[in-house]
Amino acid sequence: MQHTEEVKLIQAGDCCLAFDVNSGSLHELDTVAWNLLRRFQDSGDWPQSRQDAARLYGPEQVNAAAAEVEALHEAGRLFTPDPGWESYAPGPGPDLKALCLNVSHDCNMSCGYCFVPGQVRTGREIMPERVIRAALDFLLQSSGHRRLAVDFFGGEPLLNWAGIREGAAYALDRGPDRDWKFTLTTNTLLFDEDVLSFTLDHNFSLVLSCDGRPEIHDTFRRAHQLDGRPAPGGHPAVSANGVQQTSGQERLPNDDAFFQAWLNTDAVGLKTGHSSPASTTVNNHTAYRTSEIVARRLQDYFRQAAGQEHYVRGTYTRRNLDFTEDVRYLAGLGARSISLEPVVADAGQSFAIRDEDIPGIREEYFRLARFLRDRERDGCRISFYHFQLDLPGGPCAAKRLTGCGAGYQYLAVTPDGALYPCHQFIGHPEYCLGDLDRGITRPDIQEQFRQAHVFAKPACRSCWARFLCGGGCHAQAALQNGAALPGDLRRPYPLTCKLVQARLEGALYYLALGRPSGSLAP
Amino acid sequence: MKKNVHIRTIVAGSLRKPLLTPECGACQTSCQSACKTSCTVGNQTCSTLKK
Repeated sequence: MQHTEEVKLIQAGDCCLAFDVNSGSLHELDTVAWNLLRRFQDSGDWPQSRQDAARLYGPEQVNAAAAEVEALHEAGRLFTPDPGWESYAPGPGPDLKALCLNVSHDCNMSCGYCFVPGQVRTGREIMPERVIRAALDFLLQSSGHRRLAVDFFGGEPLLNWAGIREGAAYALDRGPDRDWKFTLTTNTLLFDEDVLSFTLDHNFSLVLSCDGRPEIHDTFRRAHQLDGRPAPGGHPAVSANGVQQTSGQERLPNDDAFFQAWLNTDAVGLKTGHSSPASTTVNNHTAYRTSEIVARRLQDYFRQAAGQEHYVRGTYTRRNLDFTEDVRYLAGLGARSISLEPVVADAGQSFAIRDEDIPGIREEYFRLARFLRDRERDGCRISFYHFQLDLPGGPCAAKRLTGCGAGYQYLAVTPDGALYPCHQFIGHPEYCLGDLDRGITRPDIQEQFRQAHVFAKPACRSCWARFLCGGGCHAQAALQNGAALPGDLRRPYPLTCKLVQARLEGALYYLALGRPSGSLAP
Repeated sequence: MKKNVHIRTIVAGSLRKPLLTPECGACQTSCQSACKTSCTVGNQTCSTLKK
């Protein structure tokens, strides 16, 4: 038994857990077994660890615990040897199976934490229907997969509702033998009966954005037009290059100075409760709070759309590291499928997550796990997306090692038909892979993405979470690390690694809390 | 088999069992980006097994 064959020990509340990295098994330990394994991990000397633990707990207890450890090892469930996947080399396939269509670069909101580069946001382009059709033709021609996915994204995609309708209808018409999965990610401001009816009819999955408590949501999620409709005379216009652009709408500046000014006016009611006006003028720009309208949209949706696959998705920042309260708020609105994600932000931003926040975030995920299990015991099951681990099943080994499919299984398309590895690379021309007219013109970049698997990343090779994470987000590795291709793709962004590890510890604790009641040995 | 009193297995994983064969591609594309609802491989299911 080698101590280098990883076991991750987790202490959460009064629960001691051991996660066996190479088998995916999860065990609960009593204090004797916990102490024994801690000593073994520290020293690597099994006989010595047993002797040391016996001085604390007596030989009878320690021998019994050690026998259980050894039996689990023999069964391939503890200190399991590495499965020998290090020589993994991705083959030429599988090929493209999903597109993210940025049908609208324009947005009716100006969220303070928006990751989209300024030149993309201010361009405000709308994807013409001919580009939508060309993108779907490209997907059909490029992919031999039966299951194809199209994510309508933005900006705010509902600013191009006609394009979404056209896209779904065109896909079904041109690919009747394919199994289509459509997803719409929306801030909900334009979500109405027509959208609901169409998305139900066409089996869309929905991602509905809301950050939780009103004072949290309103801190960042501001609108420059509350109803989101184009201003008078602001219908999409066609520019010289044929790409539609909206016009006539005021945009809020989206920088840290404006954000601080917005907060200083107490536009979100942080100082006064929630009595601030619905709109506030900051530096000559009128910004609107959106929490009330979004809450109404969500409640209407929950009443009318039971059964449709969806998630209410929020962002947490270092301003709400008590995000269990936001899950509680969303559950109170009626949400039963919730996802909260850490903000993607440059380290210099005042709201960006910092290294020093990680211990508290880990504890918050533990608190969230207890909250969710308590609600289940009260008869209310809430699915928190990142706690839905499938340890006994889950994806195949090849999938676990490749993780992110950006660049070759998944591409993002801009309104003018440019192809990028994913939505986060849009606005970074050095990562442009080609366009819909010429196809992939930079197969070299595409190959770098294909080869950026778990065992090609030194930090992942020794990480206990590698078979659950799959190697992390390529965009964060490439863009937030800040260096040039190709080294970045093989260097996951360290802060995100810590966040994912903390979240996975929470997920394992959540699984443990679902165990049958009853205690371990005395 | 003697009942464990110090260690209780909550989930018996199966990571060692799958062979490292090429991915069939039937599953959802994973996206680890936090600006979407990131789908880490740990919370994905195998579309082939699910059927």
